[in-house]
Amino acid sequence: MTKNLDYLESYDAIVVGTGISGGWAAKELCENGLKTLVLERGRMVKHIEGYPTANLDPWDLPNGGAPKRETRIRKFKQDRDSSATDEDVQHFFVDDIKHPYNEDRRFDWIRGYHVGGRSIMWGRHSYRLSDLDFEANKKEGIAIDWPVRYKDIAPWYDHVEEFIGVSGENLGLSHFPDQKLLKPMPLNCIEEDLKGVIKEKFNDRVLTVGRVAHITEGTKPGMGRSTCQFRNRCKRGCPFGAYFSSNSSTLPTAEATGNMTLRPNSIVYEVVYDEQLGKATGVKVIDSETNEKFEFNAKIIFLCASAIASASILLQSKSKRFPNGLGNDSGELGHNIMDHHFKVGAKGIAKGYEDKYYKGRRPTGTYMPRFRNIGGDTNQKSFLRGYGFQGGASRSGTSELVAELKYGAQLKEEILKPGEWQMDFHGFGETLPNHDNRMYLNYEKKDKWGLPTVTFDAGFGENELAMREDIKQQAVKMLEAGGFKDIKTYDEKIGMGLGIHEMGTARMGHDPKTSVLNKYNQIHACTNVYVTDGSFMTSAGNQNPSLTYMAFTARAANYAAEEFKKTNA
Amino acid sequence: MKRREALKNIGLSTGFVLATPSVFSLLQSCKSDVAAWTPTFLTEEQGMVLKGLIDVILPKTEIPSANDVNVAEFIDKYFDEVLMENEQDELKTSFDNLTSFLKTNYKDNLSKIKSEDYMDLLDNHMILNSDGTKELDSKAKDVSGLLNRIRSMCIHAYRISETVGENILAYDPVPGAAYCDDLEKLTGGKSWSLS
Repeated sequence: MTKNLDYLESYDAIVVGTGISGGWAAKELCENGLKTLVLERGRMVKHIEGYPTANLDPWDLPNGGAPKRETRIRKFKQDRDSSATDEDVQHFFVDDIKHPYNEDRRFDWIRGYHVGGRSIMWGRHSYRLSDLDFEANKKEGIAIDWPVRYKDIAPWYDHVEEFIGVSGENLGLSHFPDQKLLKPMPLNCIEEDLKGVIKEKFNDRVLTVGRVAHITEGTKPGMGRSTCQFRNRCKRGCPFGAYFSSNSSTLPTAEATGNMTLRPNSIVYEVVYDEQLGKATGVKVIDSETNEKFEFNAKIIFLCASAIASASILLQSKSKRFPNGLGNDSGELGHNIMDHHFKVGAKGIAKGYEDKYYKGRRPTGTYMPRFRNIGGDTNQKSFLRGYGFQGGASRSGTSELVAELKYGAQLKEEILKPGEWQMDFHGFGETLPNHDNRMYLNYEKKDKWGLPTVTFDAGFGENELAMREDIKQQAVKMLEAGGFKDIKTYDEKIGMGLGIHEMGTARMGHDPKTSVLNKYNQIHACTNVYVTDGSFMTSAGNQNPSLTYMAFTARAANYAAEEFKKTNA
Repeated sequence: MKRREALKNIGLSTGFVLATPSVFSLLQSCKSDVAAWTPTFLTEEQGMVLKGLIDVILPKTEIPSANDVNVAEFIDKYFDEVLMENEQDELKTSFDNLTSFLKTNYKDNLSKIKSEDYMDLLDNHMILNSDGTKELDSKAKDVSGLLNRIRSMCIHAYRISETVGENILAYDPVPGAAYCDDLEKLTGGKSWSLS
């Protein structure tokens, strides 16, 4: 272990990871005046200049952007995500040969190792959890109770939304809270008509446009952020800074305080625990490029490396006090992995709109908030919790006559005309926490830096499978009500992880005997270590989770800063 | 070309742009010359068959043909760089089947095969999904499968070529807004080149 003279002896805080959560931890800690070292295991990606494909058209990309053989070989697990290996974005997804993991049961661990993490490629849907979610475990006797209720986190949702910019429509539903929203993106004509049909024929549900972290009016803080141009090339990085990413927003804001030191290529593998002090004193790091090992010290540690990576770091942080990993008194560390299950729903063809089309490539679809198990007639016997519907209507790029023409001038004409309109209801369902769904470390198989690799043993259960049946039935019912033709259901057999919402590996709770973190995301028995990525989730909700990670991170970072100021005043 | 690049990349230098569609309608088309071509993945004979087929599938009309926009070159490169090795092996077998089928049923010298022959081949030996199920022996099924694949790749490659994408389909790199309207008003009945 050597000292790195380019860096301070000690920082006020260290943040591990630069994705959705790490960026927020960095911003809040730096704005509170804490000298903060931000460590990222991957390479540097600077806003705008780090997005090499942002303005390329299909003809500018080799093979129209299709994944090259070499890419699919090296990124063979990332390739399970249908677009991760496409040449316009593959540079943001990891090399599975260089960064291996193991599967007792199939788990699709889709990762981005670079500054900004998956905040560059995320889906941008941004919804709040509600007390329906925070109270569910307690009411149903599932796993453990959340130590937080909606009133505790609501102001932090406000705080985050005002900074990042979320567009969408408020609906006034108690189980699906209103948000601080910018003007919604428009529905297209099919969706607008279907919205009316659903309002008329289904009194328990409502169709709206996705609430997404895009600026639709004005601007937001960060690095030159402006309004969405409807190019739908978000995953490549946005040169307009129109959607929220760490790179465009939180990291530049943290940097502007003068309190942030960012160090890429820094693989954190252990949190150092001092037996005498009874707290953490820093982290151990390997430089991914030089293989040098360093130790960096700080009074506060924020783990924001993502649910699996943060749990992995804690499991590797063994000491006399914590022989099974830092904070693992309960034995729950690495357990209770959740994700959202999806790729299930139904599609149908709309007739009568042949003379209509749209301008712009709206970078989101429709959304239908959860309408199952929210009380009264909505309660189901066959499954607990619920699901939302994403999807939307779009028009094929070639006429339906193409299917019948083999060759010739008419075929050539028809491939230039738009074809059928299709509406898709795509379910995104909650996964119940289950102790048996876990990840653990394999010390027999080490990576190129000599670190143990992660093994997954997790899968969906009976509740999720029963919910999928209802998803298909309800999607069909609504398409039928809307007069759609050729309605077909789909139900892909997916592994856990493909929702890229992995969470729950260091859950928060009231009791240190059954949880890893307390209500402020601190490790119960080592309170200067905070874990604020998806690890802390006690249940999954059915909502896309990133906004919740941001809100809990901001709350924890401000709590940590207050505590810091009290002891260091 | 330079003007187009400048407009496309405007966001990269400034991080901000207000684009209007009329700006982009001024763009010049960029055509590249079709040079003599030696295929990389296919044999020269197979490359000649591919060119012959796609010239029939998307022929020259008042707008460019598939060969005018280098579709054969695209497909050959795609086979070479995108397909996994096992897929390439299967494809080589299929192409061998196709060329032997052409030699047996049309002309032994493939360079003598005319457009009419390729039309006859497609009329009688390519079964579209819309044709329903027909009983075929395995070799005929393989030939039909390859012809279908060439046809769909030809359509895809044509639509994503620079000439077609920018000048023939409706091209809108920076829409700036999203809304529904009449098809004719928005694109004159064409589909968008970018999705």
